[in-house]
Amino acid sequence: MKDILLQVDDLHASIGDKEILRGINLTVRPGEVHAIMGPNGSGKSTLSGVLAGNPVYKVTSGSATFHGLNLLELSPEDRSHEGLFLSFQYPVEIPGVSMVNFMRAAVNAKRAYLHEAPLSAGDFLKLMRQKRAIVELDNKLASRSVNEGFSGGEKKRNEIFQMAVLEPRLSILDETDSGLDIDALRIVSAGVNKLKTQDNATIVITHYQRLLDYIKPDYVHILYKGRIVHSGGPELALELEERGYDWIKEQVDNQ
Amino acid sequence: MKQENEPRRAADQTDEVLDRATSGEYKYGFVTDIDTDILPAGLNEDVVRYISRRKGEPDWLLEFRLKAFRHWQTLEMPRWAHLDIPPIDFQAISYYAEPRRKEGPKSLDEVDPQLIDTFNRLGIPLEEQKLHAGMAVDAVMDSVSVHTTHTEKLAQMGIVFCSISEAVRDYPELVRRYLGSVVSYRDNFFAALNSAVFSDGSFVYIPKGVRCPMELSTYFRINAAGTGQFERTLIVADDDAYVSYLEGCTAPRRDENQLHAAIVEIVVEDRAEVKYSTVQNWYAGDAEGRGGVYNFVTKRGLCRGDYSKLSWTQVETGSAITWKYPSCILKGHGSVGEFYSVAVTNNRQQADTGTKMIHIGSDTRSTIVSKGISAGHSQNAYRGLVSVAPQASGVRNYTQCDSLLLSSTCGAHTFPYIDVKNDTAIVEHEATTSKISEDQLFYCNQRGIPTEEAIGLIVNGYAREVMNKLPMEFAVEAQKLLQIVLTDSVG
Amino acid sequence: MNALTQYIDLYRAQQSVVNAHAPEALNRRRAAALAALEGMERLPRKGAAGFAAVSLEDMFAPDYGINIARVPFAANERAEFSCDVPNISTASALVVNDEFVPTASLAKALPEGVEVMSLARAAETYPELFAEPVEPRDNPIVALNTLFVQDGVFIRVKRGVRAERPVQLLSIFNAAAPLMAARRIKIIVEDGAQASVLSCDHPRVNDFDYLSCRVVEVTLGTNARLDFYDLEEASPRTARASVLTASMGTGSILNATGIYLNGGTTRNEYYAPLRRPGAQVRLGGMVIAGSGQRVDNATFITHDSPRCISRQLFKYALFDDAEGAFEELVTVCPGADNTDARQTNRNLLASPQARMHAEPQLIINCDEVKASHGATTGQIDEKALFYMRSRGIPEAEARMMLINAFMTDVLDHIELPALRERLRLLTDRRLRGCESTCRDCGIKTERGEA
Repeated sequence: MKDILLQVDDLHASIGDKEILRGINLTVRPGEVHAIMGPNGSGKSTLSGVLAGNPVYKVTSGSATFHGLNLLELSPEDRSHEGLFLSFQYPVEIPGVSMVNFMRAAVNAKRAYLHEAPLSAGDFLKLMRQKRAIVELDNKLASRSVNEGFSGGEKKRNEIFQMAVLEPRLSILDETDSGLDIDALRIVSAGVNKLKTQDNATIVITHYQRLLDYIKPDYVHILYKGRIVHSGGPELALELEERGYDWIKEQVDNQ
Repeated sequence: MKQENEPRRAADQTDEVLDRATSGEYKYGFVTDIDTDILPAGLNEDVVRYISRRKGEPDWLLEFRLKAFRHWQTLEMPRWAHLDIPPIDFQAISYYAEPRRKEGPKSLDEVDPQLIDTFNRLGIPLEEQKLHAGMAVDAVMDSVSVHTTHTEKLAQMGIVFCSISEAVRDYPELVRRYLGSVVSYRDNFFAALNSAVFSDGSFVYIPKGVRCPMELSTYFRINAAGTGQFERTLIVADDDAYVSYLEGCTAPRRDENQLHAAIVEIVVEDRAEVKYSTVQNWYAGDAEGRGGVYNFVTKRGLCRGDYSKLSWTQVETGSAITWKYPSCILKGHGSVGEFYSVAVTNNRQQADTGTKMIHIGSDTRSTIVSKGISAGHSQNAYRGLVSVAPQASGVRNYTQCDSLLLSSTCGAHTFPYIDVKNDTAIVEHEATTSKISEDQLFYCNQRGIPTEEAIGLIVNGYAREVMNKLPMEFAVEAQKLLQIVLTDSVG
Repeated sequence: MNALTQYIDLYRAQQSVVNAHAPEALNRRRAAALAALEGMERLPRKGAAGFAAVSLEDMFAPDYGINIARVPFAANERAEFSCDVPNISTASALVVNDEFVPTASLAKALPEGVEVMSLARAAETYPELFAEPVEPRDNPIVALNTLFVQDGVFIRVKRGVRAERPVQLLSIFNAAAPLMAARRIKIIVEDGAQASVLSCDHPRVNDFDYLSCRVVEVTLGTNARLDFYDLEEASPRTARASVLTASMGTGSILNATGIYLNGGTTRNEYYAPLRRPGAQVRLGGMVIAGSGQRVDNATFITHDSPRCISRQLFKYALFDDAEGAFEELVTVCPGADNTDARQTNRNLLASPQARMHAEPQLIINCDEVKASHGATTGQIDEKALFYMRSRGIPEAEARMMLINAFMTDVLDHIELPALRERLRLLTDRRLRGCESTCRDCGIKTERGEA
């Protein structure tokens, strides 16, 4: 039996007074791709935010273990250093902070965490060049401020580029397909697939089946009203595509 | 070549049309010929005692007046506003004028028909059946309340809506508790003066949990010559109550200036909401700046309760000089203050108006939208304070203040004061000043809209954000007023 | 006795000494300055109109000495100073207290047509250039400076000369007792000429309480241009009351950027009346202030001629119990058609005790104008902070990067690339709380080498 990378048990979380996650259970092992699907407002983005440690959410009970560590105790930056990566649904624009400085800070912070010496300027630029190629990211974007003035497609490619640089153990792709045209979708998912190894894992959060044509999941979970109400293989996604979410809602609501 | 000439021609016309458009006549300038008891001009302790006695007031109120008067004597008129105020002889003003009427309860039959006619001409019928169903009116002429409509219906819900003189008589405890609690007589020169000599005004009390089913409205009219008007309004919304209150005002056209120094105090308790709307249309003086009302007003509300809300909306078109800053003290947790203002000045008018948002409670929010429109030789200033106290966390303020210039001889000024003493606050202030856009005018012209009408459209569009905050009937009125002030022949 | 009378009395008592050690062209102005001061009740205190964070009264109240007899300080003989802004090829001069001290390289580095000399010498050599009084005459800082000024810096760029190399002025205090210095910098850029001047206020080790009462007097000819960079990186025990006042010719450009990285209480006033067509003024300001620091910038721009442009961008980041104020007044006079005036003020409060006060004011008496202003006070964007943390950047580092980014557009306006980069570095260092060290600059004075 393979090691468990992420183990989530009965996780509850809320924003303000409103409970959004109401008992999530999830197990992810290295090499796996999990898809989490669900209608709008089911808690998909909350789940990704909670796992990454976004302070706007409050975990009220339950646990999350990330390769043996208590994930919920870690700061967002330490979660990143330990190998958790979130591709944001809405990547944040940071005027005045250049991509290069941003990435250098990120890379060297991780190296410091792992007690490694910072990368030399030359090595860092080489790394950037290498990784840029994976998502065909324009060199020009590197000199601009983080996400500022990027198109929707560029922002998402930039997320995957960062993922390539940081080489996470677990990547959570939050609605990475939203706002992408077909070409951008192809490039982004090709990038994700290139980065896939036997040792890392991916959680793909999506509303539509479309992305799953490119990134093949091993497991599909349906999230509704803050709980995973259904789990299955790739065929579940196809069924959803055909029948929509209503049958799931009915099943759950009638219970 | 012709295409090139077209916009230029339109631009040339603009001045001329603007000239015509901004020379609207004041249609409320008539005088009612009615017997009035007027106190001789002058102000001393005896006058203060006379007013109090005349109104049959209790001792504590006379004391309040006298303290205010003594304090006023130590003060000088404020000079910090961007206003050129001619010297005012406070001894040349009469401090009490009362339209003569019979003693006793004010049934409408007993009100002088001429008074009823006056208010009819102002568009304010005092017969309840003639009034818009959703509105109750308190009509104040000079120093006294003439008539209040719908009092009985409101009384059934426990709502008190009456003149402040009646309130002193019938609800002394309520008045005593709240009078001066928001605007102290020590607050400023005009507040001290008003506290000493205030004559009439409205009193509103909305009990716990009651939503007032109709708009409450006070209509102020200065009629007598050589008098000042010093009304005082007090509105209290108890827990979970709601009221929308409207204030309108006009005065006759007279060559001399008249003084209006009012106080409005509002107390808003837990989760209660008060909407206060004003359409200020005092006589503005003539094109050369002769006559007109000096409008020096202190308006302030205290959002004392948690999640309470106070919203000021004002359309200021009248008065020779306006000095007025309707303000909110946001004390209750999560309380909300709003200020929406359109101030139009024309000819020789001067306005220095704005608001204060004092954030004391946590998670309090305020919004300020001020639209100044200046024409002729007028001076129009926005002055506003946003302050955040050290203990007030999570405060949010947004201020937008725009000025539109319709002539090359007018002035548009912006004086914001922003004071932030808590690091969790987000305070934003944006301001723009521009003249009416030639491009917009030309675009309208090209679509067949004459320049004069286009100006009306553009100005109303510019003020829309504020106009939309007014209650429906008032909004129509205010829109008409803007057109009268600025676009004479339009509409 | 209030601070004002203290200075008036001192002057009355020592008038002959002051005058004996200064040129006639400077002495001639003192009577009017004295009269202006006598007409004031007191110096403005905190809370007076336009003085939200700083009290001039408190600033001038301590018992400072003034070196009116111009006693040479012993320490001066070994005056040697290195600046934090090195590697810029500048022609530099040192100002010790109020005294002009030329460096060895100054004469060599100065291009043709550029004069940099002692103000006292200039006043003797060119008294006609000192004929006009400094405006605004009724300003307390200007009047106090005029009352005691004896030396300073004189910079003149001759007609049509484009001085590529910036002139750098390093101002330090050097006295073994509390001292007030009336510093004066007079800059004349003649028709069609261009210059850039970098002024750095720096601390010394073992310092006492000092007060710099400074006037920067700028005269720009037709189509002249001056870039003035004003770096304050002084000791927390050095207070500063400064007035920059400009007389601007047709089509002239003044680009002034004030950067406060360290110091005590500071009040900077800028006066730029635009009385000739097409003049442009761009004021920039950056303030990073921490514990006990009070920084106040006040700007007065008057558009009194057609087609003038004014731009203002002031940004504050306030830590600990720092208190900042920004008061600006743009006045557009009748007939100043096609005025284009924009003001922006953005502030970050980074601690619960920090305070900010903003008064972005407009007085507009002309309709052919484009005028706008914006002022915001807030915090670091929490979303951006989380985004950065999720990429592994530690919170403190992420905050630092965001504050640096917040300041970036003020520094973007600095035209000298080397200076711009240097200031970015200094800003970053300041934000990291490092005491800047001045090791690598290596500017030495003539006397120091002698």
